[in-house]
Amino acid sequence: MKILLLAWRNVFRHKRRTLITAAAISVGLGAMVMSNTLMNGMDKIASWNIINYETGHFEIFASGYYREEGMFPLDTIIDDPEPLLAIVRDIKGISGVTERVKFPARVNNGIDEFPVLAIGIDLNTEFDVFKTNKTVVTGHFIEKPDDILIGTELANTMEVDEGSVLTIITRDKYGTYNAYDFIVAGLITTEHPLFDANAVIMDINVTQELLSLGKGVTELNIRIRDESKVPDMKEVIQSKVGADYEVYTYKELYASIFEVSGIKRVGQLMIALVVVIIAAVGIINTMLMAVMERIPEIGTLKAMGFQNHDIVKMFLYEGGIIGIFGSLLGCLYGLLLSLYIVFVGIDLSSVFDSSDLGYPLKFVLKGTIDPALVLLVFVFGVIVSVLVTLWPVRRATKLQPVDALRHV
Amino acid sequence: MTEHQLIRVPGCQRIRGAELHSPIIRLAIVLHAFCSMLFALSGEDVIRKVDANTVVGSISYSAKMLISFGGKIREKEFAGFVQGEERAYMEFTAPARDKDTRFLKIDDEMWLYIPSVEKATKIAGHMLRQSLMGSDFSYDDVVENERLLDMYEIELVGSDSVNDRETFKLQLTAKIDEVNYFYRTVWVDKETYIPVKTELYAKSGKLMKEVMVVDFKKIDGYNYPTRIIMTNKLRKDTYTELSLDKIQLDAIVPGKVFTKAYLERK
Amino acid sequence: MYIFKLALRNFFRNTRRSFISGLSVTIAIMVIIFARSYTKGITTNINENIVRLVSGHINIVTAEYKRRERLLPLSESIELNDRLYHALENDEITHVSPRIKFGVLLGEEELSVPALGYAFTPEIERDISGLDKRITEGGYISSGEKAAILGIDLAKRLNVGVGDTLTIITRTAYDSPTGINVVVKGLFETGIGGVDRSLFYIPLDIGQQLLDMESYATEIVVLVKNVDRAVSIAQEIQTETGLLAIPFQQNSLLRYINMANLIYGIFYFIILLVACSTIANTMLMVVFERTREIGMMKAMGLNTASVIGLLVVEAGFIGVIGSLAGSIAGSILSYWLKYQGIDISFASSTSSQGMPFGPIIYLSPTPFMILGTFLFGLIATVVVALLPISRVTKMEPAKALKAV
Repeated sequence: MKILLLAWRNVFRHKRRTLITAAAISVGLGAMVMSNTLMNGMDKIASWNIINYETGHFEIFASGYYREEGMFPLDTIIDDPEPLLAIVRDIKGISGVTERVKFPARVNNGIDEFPVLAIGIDLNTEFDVFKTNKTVVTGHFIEKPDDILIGTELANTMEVDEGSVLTIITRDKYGTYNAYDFIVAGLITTEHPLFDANAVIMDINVTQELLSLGKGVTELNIRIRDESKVPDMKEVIQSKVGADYEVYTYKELYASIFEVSGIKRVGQLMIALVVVIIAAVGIINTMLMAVMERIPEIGTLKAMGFQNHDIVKMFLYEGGIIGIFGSLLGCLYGLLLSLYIVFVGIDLSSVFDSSDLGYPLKFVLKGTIDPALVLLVFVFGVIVSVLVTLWPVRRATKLQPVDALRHV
Repeated sequence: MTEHQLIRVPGCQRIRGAELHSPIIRLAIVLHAFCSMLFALSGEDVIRKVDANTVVGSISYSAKMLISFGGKIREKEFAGFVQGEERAYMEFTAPARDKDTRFLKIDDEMWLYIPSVEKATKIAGHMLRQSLMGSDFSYDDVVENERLLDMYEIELVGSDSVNDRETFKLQLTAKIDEVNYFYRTVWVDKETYIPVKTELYAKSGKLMKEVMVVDFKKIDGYNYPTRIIMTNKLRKDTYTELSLDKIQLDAIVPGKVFTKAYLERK
Repeated sequence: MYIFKLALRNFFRNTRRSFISGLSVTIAIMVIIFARSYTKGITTNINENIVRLVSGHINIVTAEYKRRERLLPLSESIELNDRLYHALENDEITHVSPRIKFGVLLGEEELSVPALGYAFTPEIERDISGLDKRITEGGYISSGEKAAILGIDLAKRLNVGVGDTLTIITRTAYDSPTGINVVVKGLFETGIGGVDRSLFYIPLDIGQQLLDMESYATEIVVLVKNVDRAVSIAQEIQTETGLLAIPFQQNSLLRYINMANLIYGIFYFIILLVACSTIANTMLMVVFERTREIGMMKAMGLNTASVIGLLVVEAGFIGVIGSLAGSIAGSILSYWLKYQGIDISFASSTSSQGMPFGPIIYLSPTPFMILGTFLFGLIATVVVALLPISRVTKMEPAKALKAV
């Protein structure tokens, strides 16, 4: 106890040295926290778009609908979504559910026709799950039944703009041709070029009429409160909806895109490793210097009669205290910077500057904070600080006081 | 025929009310009755008469097809046999690139033969929705096997003039779900019973295609359409023109023609 | 000169301290060189794949084809005539390869696999897509053969192997149905999921016959001697032929590489910042540690400027040696991995789709980059040291001597 007190007083006696050392430690650790936040953000880039615009966290289909990626059979639909919606809404952890009708169609401007994937959305519940309203770059979101939203790439190819009339041609669930005129209400972009070049969005009631579906829909989309619980929730939802329906997570639906994360993860691991090394070096360097310059003190202490193990203990405590200060500081400012990234983000829109579209694409890199990791960083900082103190001090205590005193 | 339909008949006047007092009115009523008798012909009857012209036992023909797609024009020549409504065989003869491309239809199934691939390919699934040789006819338009009478409610809505010919105007509304076009309007020539103009509508009522019979031939007492133009009303400059010649009605067509072996013959 | 010698002596007198200070510089520099070589390796890998398999250095198409590119319109193709080849006769152009890109649904009966086919001249393409070096089973195709090479995963999906016959049914450029039976001559593996899962190749002449496109191609892939000249050469081709010539630098796929680079840039920045702070801290400690020493020097008559000069030179030494050591270590590591490559396929169980790079990354260090990083390390050390060193000016000898 006495030793601890001594250590504590020592630390505060040399305020400047302590501050400098703590500051040095904090820089590396703060960087670790921030890199992690950024990397979490990067991980999410791919999934954000898919979750926010295309699938939500889960999709529910009628059994047998999802045979292969890319097919949209109208014969296997959810005939009456109401009871299913009620069931899903009751499940704990669900923050929103909506219904959609997806179908292949051709969009025609009188001269040209292009194949598209048309999506009918329910304006009442769409924003419980999706953020499609944020994708509009010019014009406005769907307001009237004959409004249609079209991707910027597709609009460009078809040379249409806000106010243009487009005909959507498709076949209803019996194979009968149906066609309907829409007015382009706005142009959208999701930073997912395949989507922008292939999708059009309209009101679900119109699509149900177009396809003679009655109340039927092709899928339900679900958003849950805690994204990390997606794998667990799948079982829960599937058991509640029963065998007539199939539940898929967004990762399963877009398996091909998420396979990439394996390779990205290695890249991120390397970067993380690099940051850790640099941070560790910073701590080691600093602490080492701080300790080294006090080796003469050890000589004095020994001469005064202090035992070796007490001296070591004292230095360890000091190292620990400075380590704690530094780690606290580092985690603190790492968190502050991370919060900036989480809420404001880094604007990388300049990447898309030279876009041949003429429409500005916004791309802001955001992140999420992993509390477990912050704790880990803190512990790491303290441990390294203590360990770094340990070695030179133990060696120094073995010296004769006179040698220690002479140590420079 | 229901009362609320307004019938414009040359010589017959619209009748309102039922004042039977004056002789003029009485005459008018008689005339009306007389006209109505003429129109005792129902829509179905008209269609039956149309079918009578075209659905013949066996037909052999040769034909030319002109396809315009956004202004680009291509011409093809082919010949074929049709037996009743169930069986049809078609073989392209020109241009050289299409020579020996063959199609066989039996009931509601269709096969395609390409010389460089020795086995015939069954046209099924979404291949059915593809167009025949790039024309405005899709494979399932050709394969659609049921008769208009079975697919549609037919209403005679009046008279009209098409290219200076008097026609019956018929309104067809699908009565089963599995039809390609939910509504059709057909103008049938009163004399020849040829459907000189047909409009094909999507379920929303949007006009998608228009088929005009521009020429016909009287063969063995039948009025057979010989020049048909199908126009895509949703795309500029896009239409297909079919000209039939060398038509032999009630031809003797050997049964082996409608076999896969014949389709795949070298 | 005297200062120089003094600095040198000081440096060696306190090797341990010098060593620790220099170590952080060394490690930072080494790590930066490695990281930059790694990311450049990935970028190079992606660029190469795009050039070889997709666009070449310059990609020539008709304007209308580009507009309707999604539909793979065979009718908007380029006529391969003498005039065209004449326009492409250029000392700077090394390879010219016409290709036809076409989409088909492959498979028998129920199986309906969407695939992308390329008809190209196998002999020329040895130097371009180089698929002959990627054959895992069977052999490569030659012009005139009714044969195809398939991506290894495509073959699996279709349940075909080397020697089997594949029937291709599609439409010609004139919308007529057409088809061909080809022998599966070989299977290739590029490591790029999207390619191995969906692509197959047939000889150009066979493709032209199949699609009724004799003397036509949907695109022409051009390789040039000097990639930096691609933009101007493309311009020339465009003016002379009236076709659209897109240099690789303007390929829209690059957008994603730029994004990746930008993000990596952020991390460099962070790493650099940490490294700098370590250097700064070290220098600060040095100054404070040696306050007494500095006081003594001043008391002995050394003027402030000389003292500062001394410290700056010392910092310079640390910078030079630290940076040098780091550069050497970093270079060795990077060049070794350039030839060795890092196999990252363990990171994903199946090959990725969408990411245009294969499973082995070859680091790409350049002497220029290494020199730059070395200089940076040196300059950063000195610059960062200046602030604490400047505090020396404020020191009064008497006070300094009393410091502990």
